[in-house]
Amino acid sequence: MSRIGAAIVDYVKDCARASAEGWDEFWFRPADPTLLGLIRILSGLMLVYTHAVWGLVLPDFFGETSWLNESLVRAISTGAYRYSFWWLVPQGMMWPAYALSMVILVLYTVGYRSRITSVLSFLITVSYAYRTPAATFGLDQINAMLSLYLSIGPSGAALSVDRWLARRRGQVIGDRPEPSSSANLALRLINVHMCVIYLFAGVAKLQGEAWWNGEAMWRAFANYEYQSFDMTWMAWHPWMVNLATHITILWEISFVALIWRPRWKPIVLLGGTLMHLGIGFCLGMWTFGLIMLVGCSSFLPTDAVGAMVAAMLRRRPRPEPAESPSYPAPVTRPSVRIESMEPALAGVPDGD
Amino acid sequence: MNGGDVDDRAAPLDARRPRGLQRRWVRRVVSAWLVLHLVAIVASPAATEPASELATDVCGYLMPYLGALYLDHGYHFFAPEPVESTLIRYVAERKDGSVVEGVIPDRKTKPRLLYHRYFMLTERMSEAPEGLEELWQESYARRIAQEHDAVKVTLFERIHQLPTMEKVREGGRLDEPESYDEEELGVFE
Repeated sequence: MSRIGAAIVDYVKDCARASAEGWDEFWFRPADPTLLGLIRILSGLMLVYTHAVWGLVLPDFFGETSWLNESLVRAISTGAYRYSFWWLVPQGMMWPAYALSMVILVLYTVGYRSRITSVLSFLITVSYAYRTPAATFGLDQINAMLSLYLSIGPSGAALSVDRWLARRRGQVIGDRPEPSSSANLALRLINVHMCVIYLFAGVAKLQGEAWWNGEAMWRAFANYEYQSFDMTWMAWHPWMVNLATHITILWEISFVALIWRPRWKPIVLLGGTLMHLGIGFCLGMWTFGLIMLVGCSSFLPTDAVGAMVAAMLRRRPRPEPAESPSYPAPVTRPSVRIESMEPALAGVPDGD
Repeated sequence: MNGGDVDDRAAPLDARRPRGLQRRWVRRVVSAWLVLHLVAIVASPAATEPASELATDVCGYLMPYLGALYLDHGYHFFAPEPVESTLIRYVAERKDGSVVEGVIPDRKTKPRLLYHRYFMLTERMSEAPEGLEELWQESYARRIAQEHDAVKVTLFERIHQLPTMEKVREGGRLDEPESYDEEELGVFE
């Protein structure tokens, strides 16, 4: 018995050790932050666009007599821990507050003072969404989710003005930013959140009869208010409607399992790309489709993306100017040893 | 900070010491937060109706966290199944007796994202919490009145029924007038 007991204890210990190692490897293994920088640019562009569109109707949604007036939104938000800076902005300051928001979002997109602008961008995104809760949809949820995680990781460590300025100051060496654990953490958080989104989007559909009898996609295509491309020709091809319905739900539910399998990953991402572009093309939800694809891009291999971007950005050496015989011969300076740069580099922070 | 890479060979000895997430205690703190965060982001969609008491209670406990970070979502896109649209038709009467009629959302609204915002306004109205329906409708009516300089606004809820495949094969169109069911919501002065 004691031998069996010891074996069980060993097994549990082994499981715990392996789980702890796996946990550390999954969340904290240093990763190239280039992909995070790329996601910052893409999601930042979406944030800028989303909020630029608010600017077309700012008084209608954020003014005194907005569609959702203050008393209504406060009543909806009671006890829901929803905070928005818009409640602190006097009416006369509506446009300056909006202009400041846009400046911050643009700075975040280009990666200037990313640590600060990423946090501010998240607060801006949430504040706009909570001021107009009934006018929001999936786009706003993904915008906020991405900006939250990008504010946790070093989203400005690559493809940013921050990096460009650091390079000008001589604080960075080499083509690629240093791998960092927090870059990996942020990417993993996006990965896992995307899995949660697709899993619940899929299993929630299992409650609906139309997702079982194969008519759900028809119900989406036949919705005149969503329609941006006429898909009614599918009424003559019900099998195609059924197939599209079954594939959609199968893809959503299996995403959480298959995206982690290297052989399946390209197929899953290709399927997601087709699905989200289809949503954009047929249902007119381009912004939602594109931001979901930005979220999916977090599954791209970080090393490959880092190497590819570095190769694209690598500056070709300028050709040496032809030496004029009338000029004095250049003085050859002794090569600077790398150790001599230590004092200058000592204060340079890493990606964490 | 968002610094770049530093040549390890050039880094002084103290710079090579574990920093940030390389430190064990930092990882433990972050791991504890990760567990909380993962429970939260799963509990929120799991607590969307129909939901177990466990999911509802866990989500309730974590609501301050979920709410503050705008993570309290169900992600039930087109679930349980795509349904008919809810629109609003309005009749706005001005002081001089002239009348303006319109439908929200207006398909001519550009860009598409803005159209979708208006569409969400009407779709979400049916989700108004009990007791807030009138306040909700009044808010929309006020906005319409201001937009058209009206003194009286009548709101109608329009449900746009989805046609079946058979109906379309028989020549039916998506915007058939008969596919709209209308009900008056109220008169606001």
